[in-house]
Amino acid sequence: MRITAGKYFQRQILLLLFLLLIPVLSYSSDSLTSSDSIDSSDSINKSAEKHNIDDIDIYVNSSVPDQQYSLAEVRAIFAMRKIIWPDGTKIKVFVLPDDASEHRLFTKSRLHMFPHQFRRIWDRLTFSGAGQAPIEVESYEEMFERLSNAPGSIGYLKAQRYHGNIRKLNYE
Amino acid sequence: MNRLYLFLISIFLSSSTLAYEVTENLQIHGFFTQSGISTTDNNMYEDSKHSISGDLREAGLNLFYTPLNNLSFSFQGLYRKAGRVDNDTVDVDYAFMDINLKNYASGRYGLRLGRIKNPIGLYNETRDVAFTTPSIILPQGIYFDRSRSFLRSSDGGQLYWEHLTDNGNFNVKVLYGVARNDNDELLKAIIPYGSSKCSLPEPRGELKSSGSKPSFLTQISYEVNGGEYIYALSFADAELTYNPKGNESFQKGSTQFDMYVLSAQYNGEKITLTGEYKYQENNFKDFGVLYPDVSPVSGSWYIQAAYRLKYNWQVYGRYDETFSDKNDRNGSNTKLLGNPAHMAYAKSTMLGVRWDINTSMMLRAEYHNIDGTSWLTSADNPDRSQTERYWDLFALQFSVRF
Repeated sequence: MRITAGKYFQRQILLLLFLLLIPVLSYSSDSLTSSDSIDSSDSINKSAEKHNIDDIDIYVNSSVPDQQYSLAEVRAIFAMRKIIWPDGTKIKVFVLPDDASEHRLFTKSRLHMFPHQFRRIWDRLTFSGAGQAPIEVESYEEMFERLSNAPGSIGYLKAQRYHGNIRKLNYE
Repeated sequence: MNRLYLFLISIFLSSSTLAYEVTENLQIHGFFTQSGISTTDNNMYEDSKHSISGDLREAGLNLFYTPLNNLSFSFQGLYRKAGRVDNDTVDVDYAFMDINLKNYASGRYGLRLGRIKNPIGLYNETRDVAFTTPSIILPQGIYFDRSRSFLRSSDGGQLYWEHLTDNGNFNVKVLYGVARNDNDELLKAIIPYGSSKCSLPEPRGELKSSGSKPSFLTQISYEVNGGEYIYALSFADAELTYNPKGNESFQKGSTQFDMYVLSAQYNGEKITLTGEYKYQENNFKDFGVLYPDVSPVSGSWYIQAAYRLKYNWQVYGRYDETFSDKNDRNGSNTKLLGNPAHMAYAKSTMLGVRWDINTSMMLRAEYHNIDGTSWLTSADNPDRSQTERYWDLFALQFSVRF
């Protein structure tokens, strides 16, 4: 079907309808997003939500200078905009894939950002030549392995005591 | 097409995961995008009228090499087929070295030298990479496809400075270099030759960057809360010289542009709202008696809203307007030259949907309802008297990357 052109105002009506649709969609979005793994785990056990969030923490290789970092610095590190530690060594960032529920939980709870914001920043760096994207790992096990072995590396893991060459990052 | 296949094979032999690490210091990325375009009238990207044109195709392969902590090298090769404007071209999209002069706790600054992407608006630096753009057809008033070859990158140097504060990040880029132009689409946008009915003869020379004054481009942006709110101001002062061919009627003229783009974006968890406004002063002079000196001011703006139904499903809509001369919005001057009046403007509404199949594959579809033909290229519409003022455009796009 072709929407009759020539009636200029029709387009504004189309756009207006679309804009009006947004709040309606927002209202019903709870059900629409219920298949997201984060949301579904929330709905299965609402009380577990806070526990889950506290479960993730930022870990670094033991070689990383031990001092307090600001949230702005940590965000800049995961955004690949801050690329060198205060001692001059290169920062190596590990993340899980964008669609991993742990990744979404991490960016939201720890950095107060959404995965799509990071993706926008990384893609712009990668495809304009201004920088690079973090290195993707498939699982927490691989994350632990890589963090333990790579000097200057940073990533996130389930919060617990680890035996190995890593420690929790001190930031606020 | 053969060149594309070679290009693709070399990309996909290398890897299929995101962020491919060849060695500790070398990353390789790439993408491939295929679009299908269909229009009710007029041709966009070759023969799209009452038909489906598959002639919008892009592929890129890039390298990022950091031999030292404060030194990196970047390179991207780009293949493009865009109707009759870019005919299976393969060229260097960017190639520069980045010297990071200083890193401090809350920022860094440095210098880039080589071929650098032009920082204009929110999307120009990655305008050919589908994953990073907000729609298949970019808002043409600002990311004008007819002047793409001129606006996408410059050969020169860029100073950059990034500064972090607790509230937001400042980002400043200052670029000085020679603008590039490799086709005559822009020329026909400047000297509005529409058809044999036009009182102007067809220009036969070339707009060349060599011999032109270098351009100056700068962008200042401020991002609050990791990009939840983004504000940017871009400015470009660029110039191109016209070299006549043989004994044609136009003389060695010059074209100069002062472009200002204001951008704002909100990125929420579910909603993204974007608005950009462009104001551009054009100075065309010394083309001779047939085309007396003119200084039209062109303008454009759009608003776009996107809503994430799920993290990988998005619906979006946009309204945009563009005028080649703000004092002649209905195109009466264009008509005096014997061209259709609707060549001077375009107003459009768009609705689209995007599905990120997984992190490396994306599919999207769009419907555009357009009043005006200023988007159209002369290469695909050589006779403007055959174009229609009101037209609809459907587009479908598939993109893959690693």
